[in-house]
Amino acid sequence: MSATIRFAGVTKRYPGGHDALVDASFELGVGEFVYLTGPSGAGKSTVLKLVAGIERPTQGTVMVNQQNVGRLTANSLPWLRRNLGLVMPEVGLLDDRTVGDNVRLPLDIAGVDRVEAGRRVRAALEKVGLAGRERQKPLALSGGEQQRVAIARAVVNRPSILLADEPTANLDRVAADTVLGLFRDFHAVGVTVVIATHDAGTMARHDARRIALDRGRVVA
Amino acid sequence: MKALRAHLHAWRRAWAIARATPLLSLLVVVALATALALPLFAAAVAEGALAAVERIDAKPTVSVFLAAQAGPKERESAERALRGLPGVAAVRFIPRDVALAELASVEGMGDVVGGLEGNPLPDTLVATLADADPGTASAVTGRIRSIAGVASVQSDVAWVTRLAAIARAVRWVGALLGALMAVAVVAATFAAARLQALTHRQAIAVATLLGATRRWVARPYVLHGMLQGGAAGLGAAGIVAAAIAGLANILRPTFPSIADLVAVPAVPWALAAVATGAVLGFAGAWLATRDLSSSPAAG
Repeated sequence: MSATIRFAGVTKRYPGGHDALVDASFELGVGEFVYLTGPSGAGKSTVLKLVAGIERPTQGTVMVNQQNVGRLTANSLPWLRRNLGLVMPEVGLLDDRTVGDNVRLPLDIAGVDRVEAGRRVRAALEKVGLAGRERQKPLALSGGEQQRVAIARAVVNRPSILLADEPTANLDRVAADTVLGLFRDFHAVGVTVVIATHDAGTMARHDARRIALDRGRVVA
Repeated sequence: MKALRAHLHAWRRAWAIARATPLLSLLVVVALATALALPLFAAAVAEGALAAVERIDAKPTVSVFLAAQAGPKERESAERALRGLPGVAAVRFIPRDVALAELASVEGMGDVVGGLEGNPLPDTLVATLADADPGTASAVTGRIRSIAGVASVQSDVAWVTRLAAIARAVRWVGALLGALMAVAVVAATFAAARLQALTHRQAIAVATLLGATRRWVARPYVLHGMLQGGAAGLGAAGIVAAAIAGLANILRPTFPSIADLVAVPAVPWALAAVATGAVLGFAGAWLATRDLSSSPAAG
């Protein structure tokens, strides 16, 4: 199995001297389903941000799809991101746009034809169980439904890697299982899925490889 | 095809920005139109004056007024001397009786002339100059003064030269105002685009994280700035047209010749104003959005 994400001796030090990640090394293969686990402040979100190029490593190398993310220029970073699906607090839904427009945004950015984009938006919303809700505003939806809209937006552009940061936080068990089930479905069709979570119950019900972090270090 | 779709999407977003902030967009257009109207007005007045000067310049003349006691011999001698001067193209004699009759034919002057006891006007020789060069006119008038029988000399070249100088000065002031107002327009669209981008900063951040390039993010704001500038140019042309029409209406009954100097800008003027406004609006918005997504996170 070839690596789609590779961390080699990665340290991330934030301004002020806080080390969010220390000498972290691991590999994720193409099509893997992985949990990043650990308590708050362990460095889970930092790993996802480094993969998405939101942060750059202070030391070490982050490779994503054979590209050194730390060395990507501002002009080439967007092309990496178009191959990622992000379900993260940094990429929230836009409250002033409809559900359909939110899901369509990655397709508009990629320059997909409007007819094709409309078809893909409907398919993505249908997949997450929100068919026919295109014209609603996100604030009219429940927390679980908003999370599913975010997932629909993350997958509508058919990314090879799906990154999710605490996707089941603040969701009840049923909603959390629904969301995890969706990630499983996308993993089943070959998408690499990386979920940062400290929700032990959800992980127990949907078992997969785990990378445990503690105070910035990979411990298991 | 993708590039075309990106442009179409940018136009839709530009329109959405205008709809999302209608009052701000309108106020910016009004401010820009006001700023553009001032130099446009000065330029329109200067161009009108220069066009009038060109019409007058076609036949610059020097009027030579003969002394009251000058007889036919002095007149013939003066005419011969005048014809022999370099720079004089033609000479025409206007007897004092003809001059008085011409004066009486001017509207409103009939009663004045009729009230005169005699004819106070002198015989006049009108010399048409070969060109309107002030140097030539000055040399010719200097030599004419020394001819026997000549009482005084009056050149309309001086008036034309003065008018041309005033028109050039107005045009220079217009150009200066234009340059200053261009900076003001760029600054205003810069500030407006910044403000609009700030109100959409969450959308910009999200789009950037979803893979939008800096150009994709900036393009709607740049197009919106360009639209605002173009609309302001059109507005400025309208303001100037209305101002000049009003000014001409006020001047025409009393000063018809001055009223003719100012003309309502024609369609090419309006188009030039729209194009200038659009270019300046584009420049301001482009400068404002250059660093919208310069951080590593923003890409």
